[in-house]
Amino acid sequence: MTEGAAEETLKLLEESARRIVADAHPFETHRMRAAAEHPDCLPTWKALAENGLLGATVAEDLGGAGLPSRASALVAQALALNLAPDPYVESMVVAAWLLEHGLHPNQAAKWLGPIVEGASMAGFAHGEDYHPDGPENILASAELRGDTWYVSGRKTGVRAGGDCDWFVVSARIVEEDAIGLFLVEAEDESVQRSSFRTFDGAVLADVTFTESPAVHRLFQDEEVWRWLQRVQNRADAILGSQAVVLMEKLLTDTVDYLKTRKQFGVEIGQFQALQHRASDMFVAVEEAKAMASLAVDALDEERDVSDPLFPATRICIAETAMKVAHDAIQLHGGMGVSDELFISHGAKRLKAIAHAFGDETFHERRHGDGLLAELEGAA
Amino acid sequence: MYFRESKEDAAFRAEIREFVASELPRDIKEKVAHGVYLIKEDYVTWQKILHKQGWFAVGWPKEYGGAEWDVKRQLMLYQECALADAPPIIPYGVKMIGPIIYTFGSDAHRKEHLNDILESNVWWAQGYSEAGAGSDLSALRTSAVLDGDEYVINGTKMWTTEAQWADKLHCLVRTSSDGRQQEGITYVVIDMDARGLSVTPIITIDDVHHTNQIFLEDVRIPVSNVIGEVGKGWSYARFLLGNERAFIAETGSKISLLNKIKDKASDVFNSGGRARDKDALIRELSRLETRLASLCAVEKGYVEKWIADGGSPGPESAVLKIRGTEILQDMAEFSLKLFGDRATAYELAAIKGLGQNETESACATRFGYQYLYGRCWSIFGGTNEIQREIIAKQLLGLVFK
Ligand SMILES: Cc1cc2nc3c(=O)[nH]c(=O)nc-3n(C[C@H](O)[C@H](O)[C@H](O)COP(=O)(O)OP(=O)(O)OC[C@H]3O[C@@H](n4cnc5c(N)ncnc54)[C@H](O)[C@@H]3O)c2cc1C
Repeated sequence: MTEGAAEETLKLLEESARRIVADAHPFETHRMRAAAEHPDCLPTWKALAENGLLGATVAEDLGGAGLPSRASALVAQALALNLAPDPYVESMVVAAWLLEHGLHPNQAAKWLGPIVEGASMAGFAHGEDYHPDGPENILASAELRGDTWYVSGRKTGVRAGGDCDWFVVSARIVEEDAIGLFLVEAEDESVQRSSFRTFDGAVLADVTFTESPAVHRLFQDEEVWRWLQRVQNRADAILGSQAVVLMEKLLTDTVDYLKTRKQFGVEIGQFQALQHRASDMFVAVEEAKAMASLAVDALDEERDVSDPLFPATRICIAETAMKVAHDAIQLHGGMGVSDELFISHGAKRLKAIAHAFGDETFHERRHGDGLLAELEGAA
Repeated sequence: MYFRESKEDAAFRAEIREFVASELPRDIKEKVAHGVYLIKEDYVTWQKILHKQGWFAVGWPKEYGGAEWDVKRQLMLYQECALADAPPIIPYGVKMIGPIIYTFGSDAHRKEHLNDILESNVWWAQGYSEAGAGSDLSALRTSAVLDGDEYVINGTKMWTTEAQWADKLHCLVRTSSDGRQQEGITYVVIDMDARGLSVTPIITIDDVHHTNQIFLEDVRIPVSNVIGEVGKGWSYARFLLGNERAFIAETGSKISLLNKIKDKASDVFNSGGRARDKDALIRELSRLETRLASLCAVEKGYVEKWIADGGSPGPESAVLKIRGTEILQDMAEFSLKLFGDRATAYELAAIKGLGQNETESACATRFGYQYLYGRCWSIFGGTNEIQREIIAKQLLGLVFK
């Protein structure tokens, strides 16, 4: 594909993703989620699959469209902008990608086909109360008996975990003193799931595995922690792009409000105190946009797994996203905290993004570790 | 926080502590301790207990049934109650309309209302704000037109908190459109079951129904429901704002929240959670504690000053409101980091009551509830931008609008 044609493809993909997700999960439906007894966790999944969007970045010979990572960012942005709860980042950007790269090529086609079609979904079962800092935080264990690996342990906060058909599970292999990744069937009777809801309208599950048989071990003899670092980087970039579209929307809505809401006989945008706040929001959006864009493009470059760009993107996003979210609320006055406008919902989604795959403190430390290594290396 | 008190004050504090420890019902204490949503009955029960002890309307003059405590003693009471997980006092009656009635109302009004306020028999709501009149409150348009010996009221009030529980509404209405917009405002009392009055819920960012919109369509009230003079409502509302803002920092409930966050942090670190981030998290917590201590120190200085010069809070209350709300918001936001994978957990059932098995996600939910509802604090009661205006005007010697 020429560069021009690729750009055109991505533009069309962005338009169709936004249209499809907006149709499948309109704002009024989202507003009703909190009151719903059993909110649908996958309102857009089927439509995404039918339109070839789930597999946008999956290799063509595995049933996908083989597009660059930017395509993933665009699909993820469509979901965020419409507040859709579907686990695209966890299940496609991370779990499906691990299957794509960690299974034997013959096997990969067999597994990715149904996933891309939306007939089957894999979740990422990795955290154990906290997002793991390093291999030492993985206490779930895997044991080989005969030809089968058995996984035991508790994984927490698996997005849409109640709806998954399979789990990609990280577990410690005691004999090898290494971390492995295993594919386990969710419906197996040894797997227990307990779901809880989140303030951004998602449903997460704590999943307990008790000697649960794995159908595959991914990346056989490779160092799995490095692959886990790579998916961390993928999640960082894609979550960052999700934050950016929400920030842009909150900024636009706030600017519109400043121009129309009147108090003291004038549009509130006439107050210099608010003009400066809006300017600072704009600056924040510019920074976030630039960083997230770099991070997404970097996914398709040969980057070191510990490249500081990724944690830096997350630090930047955590700071700017919460600034924009909180200011958007504040500048709307009471309307900012009502459930009637997009503002409060967008702000909650931003907070959830800021906590997914590690919070600000986590990424600062991660970035700092790299910095320290650099300084010590230079000494 | 961080300071020593005189023997006398310490003894007074101890007396309050002992009283709350023995009289606060267990079930209510448990709910407050866990940050669960309180129902009307919880507040009323506690307020009645305080009243029985003579500790409810502690700021009111004795002749109207109050205790006439100075601000220092009042502050100690509110702090100790909050630290012992007692419900906060609902301000709309005892702190708002009560003082307005005994200061500006007629004897008939005092007879009719003050006792029910003292005994928490009647629940009041505050009907000031409207869709078009928030920060610019005096732009309010709900109209009251004289018809014989009645006023006919039409308009819409917004953000009327706990109106769903209220028996009566104290309300600012417009009786005249002549002159400055502040001049045509009158203070009235409306029964919530008046014909033509209806209440529609507003759901806030925390998915909870705290506040409402009130529609008034040809609601009739007798002329005798006007408090004070027709056209003077604005000055009464300003009196109220000057009067009841001494405790706006709500330091008791903030120290209590900090203690809960520290308990949680201790659990996390002792169980080995977030081992690598421990130093950074502790540093962040240090900063929060320091800011809260500074707020308490500022508050203490103000209280001493108000007692010494007999004054009432001016721009000082704006200082307390800005810092108090910001610290609350930052503490609540920080607390989410202690919940790792469950930081965003939000189960409405966990807010509405205590379950049999208290799960991690239930616990996280209640800190999330603090975080979300916390965004309202810098908006209601005069936004933080308006508070900054108040300070700036004082600093720069500008005249208030
Ligand atoms: C949860 C909740 C409960 C409430 N409960 C009650 C209640 O019980 N009774 C009641 O009467 N009211 C209540 N209120 C209303 C509250 O007092 C108003 O929301 C508040 O005064 C702000 O008004 P507004 O929402 O119209 O915002 P606006 O006044 O429209 O403000 C929008 C933005 O403009 C800014 N702004 C406005 N003027 C200026 C200026 N001159 N300079 C700089 N910035 C400015 C504001 O700070 C804000 O950021 C409640 C509100 C909330 C959210």
